[in-house]
Amino acid sequence: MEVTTEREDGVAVVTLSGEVDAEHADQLQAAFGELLGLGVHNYVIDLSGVVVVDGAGLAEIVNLFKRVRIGPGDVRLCGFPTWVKVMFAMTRLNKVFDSFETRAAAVASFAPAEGA
Amino acid sequence: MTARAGKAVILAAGQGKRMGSDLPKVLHLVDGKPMVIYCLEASMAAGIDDVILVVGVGRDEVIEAVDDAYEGVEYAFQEEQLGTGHAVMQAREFLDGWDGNVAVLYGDMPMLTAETIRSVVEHRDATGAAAVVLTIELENPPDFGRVVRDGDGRVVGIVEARDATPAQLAVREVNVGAYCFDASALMGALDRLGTDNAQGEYYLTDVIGILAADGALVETVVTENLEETLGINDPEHLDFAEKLRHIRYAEKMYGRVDALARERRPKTS
Repeated sequence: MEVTTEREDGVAVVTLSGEVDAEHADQLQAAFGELLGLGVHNYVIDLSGVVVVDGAGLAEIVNLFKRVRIGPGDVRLCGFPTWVKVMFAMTRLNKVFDSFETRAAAVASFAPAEGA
Repeated sequence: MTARAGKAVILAAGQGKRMGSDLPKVLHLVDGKPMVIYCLEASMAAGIDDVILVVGVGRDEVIEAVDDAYEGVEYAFQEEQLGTGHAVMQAREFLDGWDGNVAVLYGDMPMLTAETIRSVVEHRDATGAAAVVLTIELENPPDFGRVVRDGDGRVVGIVEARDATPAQLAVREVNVGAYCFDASALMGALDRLGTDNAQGEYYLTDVIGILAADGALVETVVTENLEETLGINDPEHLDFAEKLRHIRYAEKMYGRVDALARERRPKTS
């Protein structure tokens, strides 16, 4: 699994690729932990390069969501490969995460609404 | 170990002004079910099926909704909203003469689990404490009551955030809002509650300080499960609770995801 992180408009964009699974869960937890330690609370996770996701991989994404959503933050997803989309639907996690076709749309969704 | 039989007082009288609706707060739906029902389910699954629900705002609607789900729940009425201590006072007629466990829970905490309630009750059984308080330790606690301890680590009280000194606000251990009391100790302390605080209300949390000042043992059970502490006060909280319910379902499905992932995984030679 590869994890790359960029910052766009105050949002952490985390791109995952390869196998997001138990073998790499510690790596993912460390990457998220580093961003949390920096006080980042808005995240876009780009899943377009993900080949496999298992329960441990989902758990790390869910744990990040729990950590930030109890405060003012959120985790939003983009770039679902079909197989990963099926996993999210099967677990009903598609009802938990707001998802977007493109990274740009996901990042833009964090922008304050006009007039707000 | 099974929790000894006890009674539960569930506080469900609040209006929930920030919910932005006329519906009584505890009737707002989480995953299709009124949030107070989750609290009742957790209590009963923890072995406490003798439940007194304290109702106030919208009481007829609350009673109808609960009666549709469960038989045998008893109701106490809080006519005026004079604080959490005052709410528990309204359940007195159901508690007089009882000398066992009384769990006090909030009807707007739909994520609290039976396992956690059971752990609080069992800790009182094991220690004989006058009160056991569920707490959590947080780096940056929100406006929850701070757990104040003496130099020996004994709990001496809970101070609500708006009444706390700067030093007390720095305390990381906070009150979640779930308790188990010895019934007679609770009744005695309720008689001595006052309203000398920022809101001029009878705080249930002041019972802890009264018991500690009497030399009674007050214990805590510390949870690490942050989501269980979620109290619903506005639509954002409600949305989060709804999502947490979906997550609990998802967590039960991780095994199936693992099985599918094994089939999907690229073969390595």
